[in-house]
Amino acid sequence: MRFYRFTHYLGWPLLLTLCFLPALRWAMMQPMATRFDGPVTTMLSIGQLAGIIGLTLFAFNLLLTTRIKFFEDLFGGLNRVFIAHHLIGTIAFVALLAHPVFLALRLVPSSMRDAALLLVPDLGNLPVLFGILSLLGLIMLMYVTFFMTLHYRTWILVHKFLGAVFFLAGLHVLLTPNDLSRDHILQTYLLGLVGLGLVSYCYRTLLPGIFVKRYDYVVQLAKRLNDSTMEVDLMPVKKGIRFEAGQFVFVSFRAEGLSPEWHPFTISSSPSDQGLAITVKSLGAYTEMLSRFLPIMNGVFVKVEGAYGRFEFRDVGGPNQIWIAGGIGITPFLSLARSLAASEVTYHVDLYYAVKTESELLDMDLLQQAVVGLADKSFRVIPFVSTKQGQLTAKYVGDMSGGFTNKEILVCGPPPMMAALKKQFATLGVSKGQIHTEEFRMS
Amino acid sequence: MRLKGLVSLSLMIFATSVVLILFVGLVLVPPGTHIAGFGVVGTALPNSSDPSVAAQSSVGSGAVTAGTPAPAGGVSGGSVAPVAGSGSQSPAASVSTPKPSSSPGTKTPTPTVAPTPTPVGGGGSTPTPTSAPTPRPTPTPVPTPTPGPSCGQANGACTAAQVAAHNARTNCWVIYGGWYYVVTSYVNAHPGGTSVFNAATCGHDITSYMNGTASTAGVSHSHSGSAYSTLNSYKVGPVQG
Repeated sequence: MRFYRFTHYLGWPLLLTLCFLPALRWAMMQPMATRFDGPVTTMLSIGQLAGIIGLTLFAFNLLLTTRIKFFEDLFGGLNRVFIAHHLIGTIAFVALLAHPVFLALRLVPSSMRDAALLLVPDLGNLPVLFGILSLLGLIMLMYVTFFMTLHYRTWILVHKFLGAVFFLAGLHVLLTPNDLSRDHILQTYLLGLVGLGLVSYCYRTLLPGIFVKRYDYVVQLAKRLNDSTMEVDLMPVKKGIRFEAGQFVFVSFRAEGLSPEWHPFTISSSPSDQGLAITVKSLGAYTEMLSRFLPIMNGVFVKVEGAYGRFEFRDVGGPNQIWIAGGIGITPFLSLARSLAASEVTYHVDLYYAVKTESELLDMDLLQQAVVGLADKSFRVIPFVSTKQGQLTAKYVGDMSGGFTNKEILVCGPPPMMAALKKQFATLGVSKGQIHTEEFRMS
Repeated sequence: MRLKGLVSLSLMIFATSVVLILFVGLVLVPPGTHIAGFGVVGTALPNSSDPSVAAQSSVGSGAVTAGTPAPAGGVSGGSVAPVAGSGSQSPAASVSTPKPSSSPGTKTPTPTVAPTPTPVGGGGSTPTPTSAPTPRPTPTPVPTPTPGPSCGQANGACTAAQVAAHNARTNCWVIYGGWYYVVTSYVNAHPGGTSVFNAATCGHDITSYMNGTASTAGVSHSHSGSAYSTLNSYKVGPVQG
């Protein structure tokens, strides 16, 4: 295992430490015995802690949306950054919900009415009003995110309000006289985080056109690979992006009648190629529309951002590898296979390509083309059609490849398939360190 | 899916808690009601941030705050004599057993009870209700405490020195607008943190802290109407001298 892969495990510990610091400072402000010496102080303390932790996580979550490559190194790829983003956002939300409830509950013993009034917006108490408005906005955004099916553009538009919600939360922290305002270190830390969160929001969500570097490309050739999949070859107008095999890019097609929204696509070309090839499968409304634009796609202007992802066969260690692709999850392996030939080390790879029906299989010639130059024994493609053969299992893979000893396993496909395989590998005694996955969920 | 479940559960708990607190606090429980066992007396004056209004209200509700029967009785712990013309009261009424207050605070001033018994009707021992003159409302903010409840009792007057003796977080009295408040049970519930009540505030006049002209524990800000309402719910009696 290369040393720099170690950094892929640093993201969570670092994040937890940075979230733990303000809580630690809060705990040091007065003896803990007085923080929890009765129901009133306990509820007050829980409410305060929930607010501190919720705000800290909220700020870091905005930071994670910037797609800065440093975070990719910390978490092991942008897809894992997004997974962390979802988890952190949910924890922050739960903490921020708990914050006013516990602060209100602590007033119940002295005055039930005061407890209720704390939750009622009051124009005469702006700091609390900002907090209430911020939480209401966050609840609406989370509800939309988790429980409503919105068009992608609407979803993006709704998320632009996240900055306003966070700004109100920042005002709430700044103006509320409480323990924080008496400790300059804690207050500075939290306000610094609020500032960082707002800068992140401006960088990625509010003004990405100004701050985020994007590259101009033109569609050179768009061709259909099968009924539901097409490959689009892009040529840079000036300077192209630099990428590694297995990475993906965000692409915005600028054709008349086509929405310019940004979508992630895995790169299927090799880094040594002159241009950039992406593989598009019709999975949703936007990719369906792209498919319909295929006949007039050539010459279309395209904006490209990236490349992202850390799904690289050279990073995982040994030269004996098993690659497992599910459906459109084949695309990063196309790029990996194309770059295998250029590798100085001889890799021995078994590529399992699982699809539902034979019609979904990409042209096998294409896969063979991808590995021109490799000796037959060093690269095997094993197609697997689930309607004929059932579900692809870890046992089947083990039997076909002669076990898992000293082998690295790379998996890319639908999340349920990857989860099932990971569980089966664990049952068969494969260590977690041998399994490397590329989750597809990016939104 | 797990995250969605967590969000759903959190939202349900949050919504239930908030609705319960709002319903109980604003609909079921009358303003100023405190939970038994927290040693709080006083009547809440919701949204009354004007000290003068608060003072008037407190005077008017003084008969209630002491945990006595309805104001018409004009009785506060047996310390106030029957008021002439107050109706068909008999001496027995003046020593009726105190009952928990059932009347919330009101901003409408009521006549101030006379501190000294004034028998009407030729000096007889029994008051004659028919000949009694109607008492005028007296806007005096500070009723004469003698003979009345003593310092620390409901509506009992204290001197500033007596209040100053209660200067600990575990025994914290404060002065505001000519009245003193026993806030011991609120010390840990203050939204500004538990250290707001300290040696600088407990036992002292907190007027400057309330209006934001002075700072405590490094913080100064003008308090909201609900903060004054909360303060009023801890009102005990006037400060003299």
